[in-house]
Amino acid sequence: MLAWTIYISFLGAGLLTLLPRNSAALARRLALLTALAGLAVAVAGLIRFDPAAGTRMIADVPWIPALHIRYFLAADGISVTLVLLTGLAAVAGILFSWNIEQRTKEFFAFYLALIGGVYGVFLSFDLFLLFVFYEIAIIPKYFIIAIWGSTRREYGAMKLALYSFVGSAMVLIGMIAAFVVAGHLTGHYTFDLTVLARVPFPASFQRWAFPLVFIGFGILAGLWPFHTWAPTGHVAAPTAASMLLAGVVMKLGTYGCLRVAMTLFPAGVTMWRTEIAVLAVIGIVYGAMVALVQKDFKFVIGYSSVSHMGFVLLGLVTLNQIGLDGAVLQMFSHGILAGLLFGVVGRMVYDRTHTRELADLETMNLGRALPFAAVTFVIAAVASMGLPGFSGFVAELQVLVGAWSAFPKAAIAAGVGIVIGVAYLLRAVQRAFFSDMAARPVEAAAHHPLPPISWPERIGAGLLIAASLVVGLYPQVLLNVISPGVASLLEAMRKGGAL
Amino acid sequence: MNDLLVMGLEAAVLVAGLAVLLLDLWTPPAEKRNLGYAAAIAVGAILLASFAIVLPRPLAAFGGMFVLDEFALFFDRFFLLAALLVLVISVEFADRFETGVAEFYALILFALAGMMFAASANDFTLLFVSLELITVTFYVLTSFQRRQTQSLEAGVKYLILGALSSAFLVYGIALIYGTAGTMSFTRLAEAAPAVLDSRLLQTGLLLVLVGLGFKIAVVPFQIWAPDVYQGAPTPATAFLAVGSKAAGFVLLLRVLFTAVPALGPRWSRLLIVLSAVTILYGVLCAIPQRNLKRLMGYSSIANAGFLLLGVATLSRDGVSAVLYYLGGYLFTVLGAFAVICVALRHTEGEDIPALAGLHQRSPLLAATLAMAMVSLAGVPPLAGFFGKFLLLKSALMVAGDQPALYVLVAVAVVGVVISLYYYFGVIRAMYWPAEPVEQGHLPPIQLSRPLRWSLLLCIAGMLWLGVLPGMVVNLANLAAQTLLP
Amino acid sequence: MPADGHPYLFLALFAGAAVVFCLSLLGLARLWAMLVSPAKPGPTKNAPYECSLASQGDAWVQFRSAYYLYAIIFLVFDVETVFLLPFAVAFTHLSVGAFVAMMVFLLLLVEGLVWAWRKGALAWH
Repeated sequence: MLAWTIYISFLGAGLLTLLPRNSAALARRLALLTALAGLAVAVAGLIRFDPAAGTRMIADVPWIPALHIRYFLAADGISVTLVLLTGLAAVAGILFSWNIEQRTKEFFAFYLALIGGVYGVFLSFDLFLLFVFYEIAIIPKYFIIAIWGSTRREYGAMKLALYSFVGSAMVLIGMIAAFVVAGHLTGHYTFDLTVLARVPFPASFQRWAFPLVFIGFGILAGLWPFHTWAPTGHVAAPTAASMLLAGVVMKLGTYGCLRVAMTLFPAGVTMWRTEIAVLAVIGIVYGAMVALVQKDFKFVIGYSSVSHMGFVLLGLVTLNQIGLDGAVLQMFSHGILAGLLFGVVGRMVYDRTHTRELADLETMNLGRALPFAAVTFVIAAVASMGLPGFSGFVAELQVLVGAWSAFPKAAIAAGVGIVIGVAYLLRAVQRAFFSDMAARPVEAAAHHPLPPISWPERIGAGLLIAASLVVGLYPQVLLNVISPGVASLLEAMRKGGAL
Repeated sequence: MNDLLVMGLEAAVLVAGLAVLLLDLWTPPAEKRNLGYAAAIAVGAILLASFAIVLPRPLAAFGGMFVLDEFALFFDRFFLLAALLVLVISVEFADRFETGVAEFYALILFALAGMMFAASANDFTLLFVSLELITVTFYVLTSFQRRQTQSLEAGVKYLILGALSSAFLVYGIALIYGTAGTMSFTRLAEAAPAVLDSRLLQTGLLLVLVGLGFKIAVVPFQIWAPDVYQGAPTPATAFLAVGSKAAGFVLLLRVLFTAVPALGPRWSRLLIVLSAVTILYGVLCAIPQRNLKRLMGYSSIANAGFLLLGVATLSRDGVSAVLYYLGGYLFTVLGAFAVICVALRHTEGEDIPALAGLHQRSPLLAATLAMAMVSLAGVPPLAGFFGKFLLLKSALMVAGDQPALYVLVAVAVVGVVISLYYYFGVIRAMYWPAEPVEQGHLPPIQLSRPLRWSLLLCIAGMLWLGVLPGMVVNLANLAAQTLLP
Repeated sequence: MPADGHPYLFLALFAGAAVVFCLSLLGLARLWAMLVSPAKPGPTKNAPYECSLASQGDAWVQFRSAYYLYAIIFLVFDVETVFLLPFAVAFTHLSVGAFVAMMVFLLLLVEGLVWAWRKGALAWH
């Protein structure tokens, strides 16, 4: 049934292109309806998912028989969680882009195509199919940023596209190499991930194939030092695209790292995990420190994403149950919170004030003018800092606990990153919303009254906050499905020679 | 008589060409343009007829000089489909010729016949004659707009360099005949192991490679391509890009795998180097291009490099990938040239920025060109991606025996990533130009019905080969199997 | 020719002798010129050598392109004859296939002629 998330999204995208011109209102409603349907399917999938039953098959038909490529969809706990995240982010993103007037139907068509591709990646268990969906997700992203973006959009879009494609090219080579080597070894050529995971690839092969594929996916996950596309891309993108980019698309990268690179090459993980942990920690600390000195509000959030994704990568290479649980949960949590932060900055603030310079925002007294935005941002910020009660806390705590047993020094450094994270978020909150400069009445009066926060924005923000709260207060709702999936992956990796 | 039946498809194309010439004599001037449709219908009928051919075993005619096997049949269909689309494009272009519209159609048909003969050539004589039939017709086709200096320049350049390469080719064939004592591929294959060490034979084969390298625009014989692509009438460019290149490849494959199979391992380094250099040259030189047709010229050089990658693997998988890639290339490039042909007449100049606002003037044109660019860039789910995937896969399959292929694969991937930049530049120019154009200046572009169908066919082809590649993969495998049993 | 030498030795000697002979003559002529005729160029001396009248105008004159057409169409018949004659001589020994092939060949030539005729290539404008 989960496969319908894919079909619904592409169907919606197709229908939107068929709409007549100048039917913006209809396009919006249709897009929202599609995303809601996708979310409903995702929620139903989560409820009906039986963690004890292991990986659930969804569809398996031959696609290109000559190459043993199959249309093979399946879901384990990790997939279900990320599909749910995609559904939430998709709905929120549409609500936050309710005000798009320029070429509305094209915007939402690209948007839904992107969502469809993302759903596809999370549900594919055939490597070739996964790659195709992965690429399908990149193209609409480029278009959305380049057409509807803002600051240096063409630069940002092209940079993002080129980085993504360099990553994909590396993945492609690694994927074909795995196909060929597995075929030579076993005599059976296949892209089936469940089969490939059981192939004992020689260590000499894993030594170069693992970093190739891991970094290939890691580029999209914002792995330092390949992260530089992320801040510029996020800033250039329109609000909904930033939300999706940070919330979901970066997760494609970490998901690929886990599902493909680590599952296929367990011995390779063991060889390279220290190096990757170092890069991840550098990403955490570096991202946080750079965020601390940004002048542009959106860049703060952009770099914070790099920092938070570092936690995911660190959690992945801990190679223990709690660390990996935390990594997957952090993917979910960061997806929700980054979406919320970008929504506030891009839609609630920038679309009204037309500036993102913190120095300008300081003069506007936004805490008074846009109380809803201020409250939402504060909630998102404290959740993102890791305040207990929100999803970020559970996730980062687990990653840290996992890292403590694997890389104690890295865990300490990551802890420092959290502290800096508190600093930059507080700085952003203070300067953007509660600056005392704004007390000066002359400056404040110079601005026109800002339009009030609209209902779609309130609903979207409420949805994301609620999701973060639910997971923060009762993490078992997700951990119950994540843990068995992670456990079976870990089990397979141990058999394959990890640790 | 039997021999004539074996070459029935080619004969039918020739008859169609002659018929177009004759019909022209009694057609009123206003109707001449529509002869192109008649020619297209004839080609379509021959294409359909080709699917009725069942080959339990390869057929040979004229003492083994001409063979009809699955490999030849694959290319026959390829060329017929290409010519069909080129003829439709030509009709759109026809009113820009002062005279000789029907001759243009007839020449396309004659070039098509040459290509089909090339697909079946099993003898250096037929190789040379068919190649000359193609090249000589293209001398005329490229310079068909004789009042335009650019077109004439293209024709003259193509003539001089083409004649030079033909001279190399003939010299090479003479050397081969001198050492091996035969022109036939089959008999050469029997004689070759004994004489392969002869310097003269190797020189001869190298010269043949030079002659074929010119046709497929491989570095260092690529120098003509951008100028000719830019100057020639668009339909001629389109046919040059697809048909002539594929004809070069079909002959290269026959020579390498049928005539001198023992040569492959000795040349594999050479082919790998040529392929890598060609890819890099094509993609790097394409970056600064502003003229759309010139860009396509460099892109075709890069694509020759990718195709050569498949040849350099010297495996059946590689050959099959080459055939598949050519199939995707057909739809992609002809779709692009169809758009270029129609769109550029409504714009000022042929520069890429002139495409600004094309999506408002004709969404179908813009969509086709955008998809063609995405497919050329090798992004799923379009044909170009799957072709490149097959090529890379075939290379990695045998890279264990020839480690230089790893380097080549890396170069190819770098080339693909670089190429994204300029392909996306074209899309950007159409959808969000640097200087926004005002609505009023852009009258919508009307498309004739055949052209509309052709564009849709190209889009369908790109999607079909990208999403459901199974059937064409099987066809390509079957064809490759006859070449490399 | 020495019986035990390389068969090509004779050729090499011959070629060497030919080159030396030519070079020595040229050298002699050069020497002679240096001794007896010092260089004194003048307008008359530099003019192109021609008997009778002095040349006038440019040698690059235009011909009517119709001549080309005639030449090409003439070629049609020329080639035809070249192939027809051996065909006619051997006619009684040939198979039906050869006859058909020849007729196809003739038909092609006839079509070319008809085409050129209708296109007005034979009319002198």
